[in-house]
Amino acid sequence: MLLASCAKQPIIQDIDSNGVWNKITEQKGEKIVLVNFWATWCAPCVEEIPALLKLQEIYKNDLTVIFVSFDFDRKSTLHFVEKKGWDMRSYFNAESDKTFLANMPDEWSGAMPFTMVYNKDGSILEYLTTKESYEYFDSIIKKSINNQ
Amino acid sequence: MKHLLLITILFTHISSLSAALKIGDSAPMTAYSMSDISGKEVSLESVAKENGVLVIFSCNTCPWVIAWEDRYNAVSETASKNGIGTIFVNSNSSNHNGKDSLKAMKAHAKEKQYNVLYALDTNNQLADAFGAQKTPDVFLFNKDSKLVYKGAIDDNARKPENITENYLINALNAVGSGKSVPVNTTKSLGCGIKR
Repeated sequence: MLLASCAKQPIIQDIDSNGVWNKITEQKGEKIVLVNFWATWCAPCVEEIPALLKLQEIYKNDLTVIFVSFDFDRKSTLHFVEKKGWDMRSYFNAESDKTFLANMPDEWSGAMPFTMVYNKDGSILEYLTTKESYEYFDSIIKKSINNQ
Repeated sequence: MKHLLLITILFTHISSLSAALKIGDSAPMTAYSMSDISGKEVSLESVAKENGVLVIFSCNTCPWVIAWEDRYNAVSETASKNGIGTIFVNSNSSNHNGKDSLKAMKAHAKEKQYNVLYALDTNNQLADAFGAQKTPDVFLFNKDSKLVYKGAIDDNARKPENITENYLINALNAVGSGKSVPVNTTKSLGCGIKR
């Protein structure tokens, strides 16, 4: 029901770690995939989201951005996104933190934000363990597009 | 020019990374002095007891700290029983003039009834030396100042009643009884340290 909302309504949908990997695999051969793990209480996460939303729009033919929230409840995520006025679709971790982390790359210590960027061929482009700027994200997306 | 910009951005990114301590590494900056909420100056050397020292990077605001901090006193007491000193360190430098100031740390510790040392790491020097990335982040050193455990407090921040593995308590008991730590590295979610 939530997914049937109009485009400007934020969409928050449950996902687990397998679901994340499936989403990445689905885009193989089609688009660069950027997976961003965030939470409403994580200030650096919130700071970099507008840049990612902008890049998602600019590179819509080449890039898929997948947001996964680690808030403690889904409603607070939805309310936060509505308040920000973001045109955003985010997944919500519905699995135990321990299991989710165990299924993620070793490069992720568990600190947020964490971002994984995959080339169109499915190979890893970068793991980003801190907040990054619009310019940095833009530079690596361009690099990936130019290298394909 | 575009290439120069890209190289600059990439270099800036790479140079900001720091390597995390590995199991078996020696404790760095053991004489480094930090201000504790008690008003005393403390260091890892001064805190360590006969069997080692436990360092936990923490803060006042992270929801993961809030979820775990009801176990802080029990962790410190278990460490003490095993001859291990404990210190909690706040390395959120960019918040040290606000929500993570020494004054705010004192107030937070009082409100949450901390019975532990809680010291301020100016300019996140200790966190950088450890390669600590988040709060909470646990580092346990044995009597030889070698890292024997790093990672999480236990396996369930949100629901303590559902803990199945008490990683840190098990590690403290192992070190105290001269045994090897059963699980020496774990992961948990946390807030990135605000450098």
